[in-house]
Amino acid sequence: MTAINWPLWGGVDQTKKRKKVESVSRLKRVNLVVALSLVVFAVLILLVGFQNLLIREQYGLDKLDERLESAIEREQVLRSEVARLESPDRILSEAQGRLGMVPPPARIYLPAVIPGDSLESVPPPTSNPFSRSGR
Amino acid sequence: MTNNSLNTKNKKVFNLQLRVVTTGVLFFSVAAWFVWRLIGLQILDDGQRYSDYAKNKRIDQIVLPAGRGAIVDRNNVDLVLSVPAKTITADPSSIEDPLKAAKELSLILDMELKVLEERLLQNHRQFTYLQRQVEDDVAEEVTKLGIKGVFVIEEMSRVRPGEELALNLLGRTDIDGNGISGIEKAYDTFLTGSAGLMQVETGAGGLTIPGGSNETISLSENGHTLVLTIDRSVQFAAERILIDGVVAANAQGGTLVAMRPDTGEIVASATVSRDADGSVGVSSDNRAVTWAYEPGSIMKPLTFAGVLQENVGAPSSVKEIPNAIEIWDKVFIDSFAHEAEEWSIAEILKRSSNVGTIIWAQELGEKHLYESLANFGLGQISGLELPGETRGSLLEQSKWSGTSLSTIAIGQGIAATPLQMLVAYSTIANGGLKPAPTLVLGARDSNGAFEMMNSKSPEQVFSNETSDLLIEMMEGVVTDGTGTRAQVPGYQVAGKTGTAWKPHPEGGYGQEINEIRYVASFAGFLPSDDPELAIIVVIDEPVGSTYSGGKAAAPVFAEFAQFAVRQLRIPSEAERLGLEQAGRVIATTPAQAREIAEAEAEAAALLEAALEEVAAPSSG
Repeated sequence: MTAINWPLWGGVDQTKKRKKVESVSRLKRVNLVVALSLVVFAVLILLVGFQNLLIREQYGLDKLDERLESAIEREQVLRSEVARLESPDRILSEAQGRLGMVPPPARIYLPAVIPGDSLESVPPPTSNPFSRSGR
Repeated sequence: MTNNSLNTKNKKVFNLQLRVVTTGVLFFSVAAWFVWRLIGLQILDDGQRYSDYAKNKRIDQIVLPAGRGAIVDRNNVDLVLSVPAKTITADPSSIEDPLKAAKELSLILDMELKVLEERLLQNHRQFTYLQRQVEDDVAEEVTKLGIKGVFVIEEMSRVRPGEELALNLLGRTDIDGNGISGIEKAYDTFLTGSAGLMQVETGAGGLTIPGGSNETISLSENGHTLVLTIDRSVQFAAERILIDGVVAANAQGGTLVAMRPDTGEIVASATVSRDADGSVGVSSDNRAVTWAYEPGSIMKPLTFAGVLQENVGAPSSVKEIPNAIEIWDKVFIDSFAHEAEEWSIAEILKRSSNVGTIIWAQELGEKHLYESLANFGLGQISGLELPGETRGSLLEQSKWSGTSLSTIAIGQGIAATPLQMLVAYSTIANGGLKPAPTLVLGARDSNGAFEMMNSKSPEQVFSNETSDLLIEMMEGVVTDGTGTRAQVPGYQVAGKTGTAWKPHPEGGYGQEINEIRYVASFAGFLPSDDPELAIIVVIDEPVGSTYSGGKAAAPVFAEFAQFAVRQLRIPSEAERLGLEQAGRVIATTPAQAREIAEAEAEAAALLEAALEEVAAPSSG
């Protein structure tokens, strides 16, 4: 004899319950998947952002390197230019050429220290010789 | 009808199966092919090749260039340095219309059209230089042309801001920056740096991949900066004054070298020459070391150094000196007529008597004369290590002929460079201590650390007493002898004139008076009681009434010395008296200021170390 579950409609309830439970768990799973997807998506976005930041910073570093190199080169050029401008040969040709200066017939070299000089500084004149009132 | 429909159905089913199987096989085959390729690429031999290829595309090896070091004077003024310059290059294989490109470029570059065409028509080549190290505006114009296959690249070019200044010393480099003459060649290894290598992972456009491989394989090291002993202003004055002197004497050229006698530091070394069109200018030939000449009477103090050192005679020792003396088949005469007179050694030197010098040299003997001259460094390389230096000619004593002693004693039949003679005079000035000449104070590395390079200590050649006696006699030459034109106001000068006969290339000195060619010299030092500067001036082939050392070379000495003592802050006699007063100081040059600062820092460090040593036991 086959045993019959009683009442007969009880099986229908169980099926409904089981379906309900299944739908709840499916909902949970869906939620979990969605949440995970969102997390993964957010992480990916963050990664992209971070990568973008890295690229930007690296680009900045590359540019700084270029600027440094060009500044070093510029420094060398300016150093050479300063040395050229200070060159006695150029100063002489400028003086004799553009400025029309002529060398002195004799050169007199002033002594740096004259023996017997007072070590004290020379005192100022008592009255200002250039003053109008002093005339 | 039914059979037909059944057949059709079976056919359709069969076709569907066939299609599924075919597609499956196709997919499988493609997948298998992919797997096979993957195995081939990743595991089998091809894999390494492709891996290397990918790596080569991605990994960029950057050569970190090393700059050639600068050359600066003793005050750190730039004499030679490297600056970036643009170079025009081409890839002839990728130029579409070489003739048109050549025509356009010839209007900008300093090159002939024909040469440009030849270079650009070499379409089997992928690289050729068109013009190296051009001005920036030229490079800009070439870039504006936008010719495909023509490029502008950067190189380093060597520049001398002072142009011809000290060219004989500094030398030159080739276009690739390798030293080919002068200091550039002698110190090439110091000046040349070592290039570094960096490995960087790059992406499109050559940008560095962030987080990628970024490794410095070897660091680049710039060449050392050479700090010379010369002073730019003194060198410039030496060249200008020497040019004036050579022009005034209507000579073929001249050499002037100035040295610190105690250290052997050369503060100026100028060579000038007359070119084919008759104008006198700075020469690139460093004749101070490359030219050996018969020095003439400036040799006499060296002969008398032997006489005094060997106690053969004293400055006051007297002998009767005739106007002429015959030795073997040769007659030696004085340059001025006189009766046989009793002259002391001091008077012989003052009057520059050939006969008197020969008589005393005979007393000294060949052996001692040879040893004396060899001790002064004649016939030997000076140790300056400049390319092309000659050792001169001092025959071994065993090879001397009957007249060698007489000729050598008066500076003929012997060849010395101006530098050798200056070192000899510096030895006299330095109390018998022969200094090692040097042109380089030291080298500064890329981090700025300075290292001295002149480590040779002076060598005692003769006694201090002999030196004092010689100096006293040489003062007389300038005070009232043949060298009065070498007087420098405020300073006591000791020196000697020389008027040597110059041998003809074919041999001999010439028979007629108008065939004789001269070399006029003056060598001396100042202040004679405490010598700080030794100078030699040599005028090659002066013509006319100013052919003698006293007239052609001594005035150049005096004018240059007047400038040099100011520039090098060498106090005059009066100034030295003034400096003895409390609170007096003399202005210092930057080099002197640096030396003082270094000495103070060293003293402070020593004091600190001593204090630490004292404090250590109590703290322990």
